[in-house]
Amino acid sequence: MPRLLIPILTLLLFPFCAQAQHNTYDFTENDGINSGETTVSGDPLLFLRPLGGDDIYLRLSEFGFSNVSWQYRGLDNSFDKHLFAGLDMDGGLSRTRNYRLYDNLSRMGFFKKTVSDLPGGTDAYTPGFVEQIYGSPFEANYGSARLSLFGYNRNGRIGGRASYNFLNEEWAGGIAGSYRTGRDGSVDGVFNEEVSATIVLGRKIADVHTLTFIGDFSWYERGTRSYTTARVFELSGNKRYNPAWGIQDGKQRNSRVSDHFLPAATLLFEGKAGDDTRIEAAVSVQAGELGYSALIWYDAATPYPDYYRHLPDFIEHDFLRREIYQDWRAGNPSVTQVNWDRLHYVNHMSDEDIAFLLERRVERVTDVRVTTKGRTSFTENWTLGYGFNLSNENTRFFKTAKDLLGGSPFIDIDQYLTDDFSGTQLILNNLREPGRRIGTGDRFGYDYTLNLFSFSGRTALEYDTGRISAIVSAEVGNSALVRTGHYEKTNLPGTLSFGRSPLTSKAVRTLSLSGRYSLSATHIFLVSLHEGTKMPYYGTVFTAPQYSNAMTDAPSVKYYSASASYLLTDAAVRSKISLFYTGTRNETAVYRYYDDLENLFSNMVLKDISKRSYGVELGLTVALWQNLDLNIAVSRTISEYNSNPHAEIYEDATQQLYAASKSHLDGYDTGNTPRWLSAFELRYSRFGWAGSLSYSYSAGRYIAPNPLRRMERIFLRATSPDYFNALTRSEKLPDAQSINATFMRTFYISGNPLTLFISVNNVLGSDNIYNGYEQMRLSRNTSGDSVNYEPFPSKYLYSYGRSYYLSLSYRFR
Amino acid sequence: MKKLIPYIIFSLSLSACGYNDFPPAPDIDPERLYPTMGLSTIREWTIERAVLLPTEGIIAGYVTANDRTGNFFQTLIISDNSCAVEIKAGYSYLHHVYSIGRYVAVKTGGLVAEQYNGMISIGPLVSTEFTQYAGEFEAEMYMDKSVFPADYIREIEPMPLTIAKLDKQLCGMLIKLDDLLWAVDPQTDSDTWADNPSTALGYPAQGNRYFHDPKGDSIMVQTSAYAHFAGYQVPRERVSLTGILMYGRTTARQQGFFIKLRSADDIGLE
Repeated sequence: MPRLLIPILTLLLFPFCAQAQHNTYDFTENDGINSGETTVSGDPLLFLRPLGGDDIYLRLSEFGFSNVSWQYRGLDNSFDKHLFAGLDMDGGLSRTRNYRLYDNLSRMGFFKKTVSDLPGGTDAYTPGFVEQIYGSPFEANYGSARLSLFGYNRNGRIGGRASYNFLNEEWAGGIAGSYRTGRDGSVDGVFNEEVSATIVLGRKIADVHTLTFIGDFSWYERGTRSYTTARVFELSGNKRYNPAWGIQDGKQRNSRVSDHFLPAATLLFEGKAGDDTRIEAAVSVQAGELGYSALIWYDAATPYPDYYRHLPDFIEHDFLRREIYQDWRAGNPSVTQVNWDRLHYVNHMSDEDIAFLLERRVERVTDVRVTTKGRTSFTENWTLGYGFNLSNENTRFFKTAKDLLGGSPFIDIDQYLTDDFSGTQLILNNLREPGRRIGTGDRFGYDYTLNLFSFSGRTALEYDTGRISAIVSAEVGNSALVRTGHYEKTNLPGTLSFGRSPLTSKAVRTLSLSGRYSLSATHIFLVSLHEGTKMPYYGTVFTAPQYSNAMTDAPSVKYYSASASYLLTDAAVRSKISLFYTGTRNETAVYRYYDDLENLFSNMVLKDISKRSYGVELGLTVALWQNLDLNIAVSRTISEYNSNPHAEIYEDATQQLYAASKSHLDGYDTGNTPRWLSAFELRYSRFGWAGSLSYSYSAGRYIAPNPLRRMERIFLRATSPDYFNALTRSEKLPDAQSINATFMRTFYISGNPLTLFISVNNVLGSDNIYNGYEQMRLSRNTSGDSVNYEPFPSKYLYSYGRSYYLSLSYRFR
Repeated sequence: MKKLIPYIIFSLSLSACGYNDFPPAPDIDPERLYPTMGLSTIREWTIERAVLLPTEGIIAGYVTANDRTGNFFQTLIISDNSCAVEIKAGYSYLHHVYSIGRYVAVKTGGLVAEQYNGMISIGPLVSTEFTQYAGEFEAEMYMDKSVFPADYIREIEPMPLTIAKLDKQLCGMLIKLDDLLWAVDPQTDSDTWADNPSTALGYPAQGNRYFHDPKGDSIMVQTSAYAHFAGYQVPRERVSLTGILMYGRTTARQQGFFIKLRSADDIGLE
């Protein structure tokens, strides 16, 4: 029933137009300060150029759907772009975001815009959305300094932010930085410590050109949390239970800590070549390290407390089961959390060098990116856009021994092949250094470099009469990926693991056609068509990139999309309703898992994956009354597999193929996004005051199906309909809802603004599952003569409970 | 004020709170407990039935077999030279803490000892309506309450024996038999100690290989298919074998002695 309320509410509210003028301004949750983005109520045609404009749906969804996992239009997030002056902001091949860069830039004359249905002539060609940061230090309002202090209970506790701008006729620039620290208020083990600083320096040249340098430095270390099963949440009595941490030395120690240090330097040029041509160019270099720690174990039981064999359900005898159950209910951390003292103890006692180890998986990134773009107007109606992108992304992947936990320096052997049944010989990870012992900080396990070189050129021809515009654009290029193994593994000698792999080179292209028809200044229609190919994700090009040069022969990913939108813009209503359809073909996926049928560590290569997403989305802003707006974002998305991809399963130790067949995924929901997403926001603002109350609701949420369970070699072993359903059903998650509130008040002290911002998310403290996944493991149950395989239970992550954010900002003029 | 901002940022960056900084490994010095009775006493008590062990008693011995190579499963054997006892752990990966030769003391309160086919086993009390028997600890944190390994390891010497001198009183002891030759049965025996699970079709089978000495006496060597050395070739030369002595069913109709090797190192070529 709640699901029906969404379209009903939408239909009721859509025509509602109060006769009030827009004079609102936006503020962002993470900012608390007027961002300076004013909602234009003048000429809508002006506002909506370039095509797409600032997408209402995307703007509302940025925070509106934060309590559930979702992907724009059901597409994989590889289709979403985060660009800064045309440069991809995501660092390294793993595309790690630097969230603080925009935070800092927004204080120095830069702005963010999120758009979709991009036509040609812009920075990116994608059926997903594009988040663009644009601007220049000369667009900062005036020279000023700001200082903000904030407190919160999510990810950390306190922080501060400071910035300083200067501006004169030739030079503009500034420095902005922030610091956050603290432990999470509701999820044990989670902490955050981060420092960021960004320097911007701009120079005007001959009054028409601008040269801007941006130096960015940020570092953070975050304790993360892990998914776990419904049974563990039940046992712990805590929906924010986190199995990743334990007590050491009297304080919480998280085994899964991510760290980020990726300084970047960017040089931007904006200029004119004559009256009709605008040129932009940017060069960016970033280099640093991304890390993630985790526990590993050698011929020992997993130290993570939520493993099924550690739970009371697995204990046979009643008295022991009761005792462990009571420990869970009482929250005894030596049972319910990582027992660090035990790990040290086992390492100390073992006659092996080491049983447990804390490792740090490292990506050492060196990226160079160049982009240029130009626009030349030939006549009043015709414009030519052109440009090229060039990038070389070099990432070295390795891991280091972060903490031996009291163990001794050890010989670097494959941790998995010590206790499987082919493990009659220990497998050295690097036979070129057979006797080397690994001590704290030493590199071990795997060590390889991936180098991705990409270039593309693009052009767009635009025709624009004001009422009608059309753009046809094309981008063509090539991406080449090569792996260089620095370790030679015993079971993969020579070039099977060491040295350069064959080069994977893929042509990439996009063809786009888009058009706009303005029936009047109020009613506008947009269409957009895309067709293209893109480089497959690096992790799918190799069967086991950590230690093997074996390739999957993954082809280029093909995609096509179409969307049609209607925009309504008048004094009281702004809306965009879009129909969309996107398909992908030839996708490849690689899964690394333990195969319970064969008792083998295995790599599954899933080929010829086809998916499609289609649906409708609505973004709507209605001025209900003076200073009071209603914002709505609603979408209905079907995102599903539409093929039965071919699965090949290789034994990890030998890379030998041992099973191949279809995985019957056709018709399964991809699990990328809820079928219904909705957010309703009432927003009040007048000079010096602002506040909002919002409600979000999502439904039709499915967990991504794992392909193993949909293979005949698995589901045909089911001995009853119940077992069959357990293996093949599509798991639906409960609907999720949340109420959020914000309040902002600006005071003036000696003419300078002092702004108080308060937000409370999930006011009701609802327990919403953020996301879940199906485990690849199967349990084997014998009953009489029959053997049944049941899936391990799915794992889930709950979104945050009630959380608050409070900031106080002061600006010095 | 404006001039202070860069200094504020700089000083904040230096004031890390150290949520992920921890001192080196803590000192670990487990207490060594001394026995109040010998293992042979347990053998005497359990000749006829399972017994609940004294609340305040302590027994001790040195680990002679564990699950290191997979031939023993979720169990430990300790010996004090006079007798051997199996500790029914009921969980895996014991070998790190209970390595071969480690001194282990057991507080007997709440534990039951029983004897079957000459082998003495101890474990936590499990009571049913009709009987009580030695259960398994099942979880390390519960075994830790009764079993106390010390930070002391010594070399364990097997007891040299001949097949003719085997006795059920010796079950559980680490013994060494010299001058043995594999009595290969080409009809039933593969040339490895047991099936290798990674290559076997269906359920991998344990291996029973018979060896005889120069006097013509024979003994079975039983090897789990999950032993790391299960796929090793059985030597056809004369060998000495070291292993844990056991007694039980050796064929469908016969009972007899057999030994279980602890690792491939227990096979000595002569």
